[in-house]
Amino acid sequence: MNGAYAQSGVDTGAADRGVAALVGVLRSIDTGRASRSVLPSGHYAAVLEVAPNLGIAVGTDGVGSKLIVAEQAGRYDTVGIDCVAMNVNDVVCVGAEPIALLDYLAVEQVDPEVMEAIGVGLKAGAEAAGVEIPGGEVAVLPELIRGHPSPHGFDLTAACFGTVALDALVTGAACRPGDALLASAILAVRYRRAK
Amino acid sequence: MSTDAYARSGVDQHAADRAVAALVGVLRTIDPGRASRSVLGSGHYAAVLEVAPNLGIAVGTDGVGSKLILAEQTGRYDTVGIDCVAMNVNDVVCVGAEPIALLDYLAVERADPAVFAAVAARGR
Repeated sequence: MNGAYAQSGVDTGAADRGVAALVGVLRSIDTGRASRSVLPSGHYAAVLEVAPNLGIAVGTDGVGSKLIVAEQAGRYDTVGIDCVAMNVNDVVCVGAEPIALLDYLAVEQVDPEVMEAIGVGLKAGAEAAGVEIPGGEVAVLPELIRGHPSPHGFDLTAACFGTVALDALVTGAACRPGDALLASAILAVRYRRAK
Repeated sequence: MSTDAYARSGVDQHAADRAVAALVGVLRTIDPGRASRSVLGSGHYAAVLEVAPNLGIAVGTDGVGSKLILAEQTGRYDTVGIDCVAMNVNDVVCVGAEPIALLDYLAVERADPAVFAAVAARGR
């Protein structure tokens, strides 16, 4: 698998070292007040305590290199579904109910038809997941985004927010041999690795 | 920046406005199948979701944008993070909220541990 990533231009060893360098600094952030985080690193979503027994689960993820397939196929109305799925799947992993999502869309050039199609996918994903999208951001960055083919490049990511009772958090600590295993997002991730 | 200056840098403001309107027009019709948690109309710098009686979570998302090109050209990566945090907390305080946390999303052409550490560092 690492060989397949390397062939596609991704050095997973360098990527792991890069992420470790980044996270090593972020872990040392001193906010000047008590942390609201109730989970250590290593979970799919962070959980912030906002009231007695109430946590907000937050996560962020993007569609990634699967966007290239959309650009090459000229089909933009399904990547939004993937974007929502990647995010809500992370938030449900800690036992939270996803309630909302913010999208961030960076484009090489603006095309109202393409952006409407991206919205159609986000809507389909949001309605399937039962989340609303009350805000987001669009950035036009022709110098930073380069499509396959250009100028149809874009990056689509999101952040997802959910609520969870802190006494009902799912951390994996209660897992026992013989438990049922639930999987999500297998198809998308398998595709990404197959690429 | 004037509309002309945006146009010279390759950004058509009118086309951008039309495209954002097309996207938001679809997102506004989302039916999550339950009551909305949003307590503000659109047009604010942050959305607010009701999560408990008299308690809202203010959420916003923003990026550094084309200022990143300056960082790339100067090879200085330890200040863009300050800008990124500022853009986001500034939006959240606009609705009267106290910012408590931030998630970062970093997409790179090539993984460089030294650059990653600089992006995360507080460049004073």
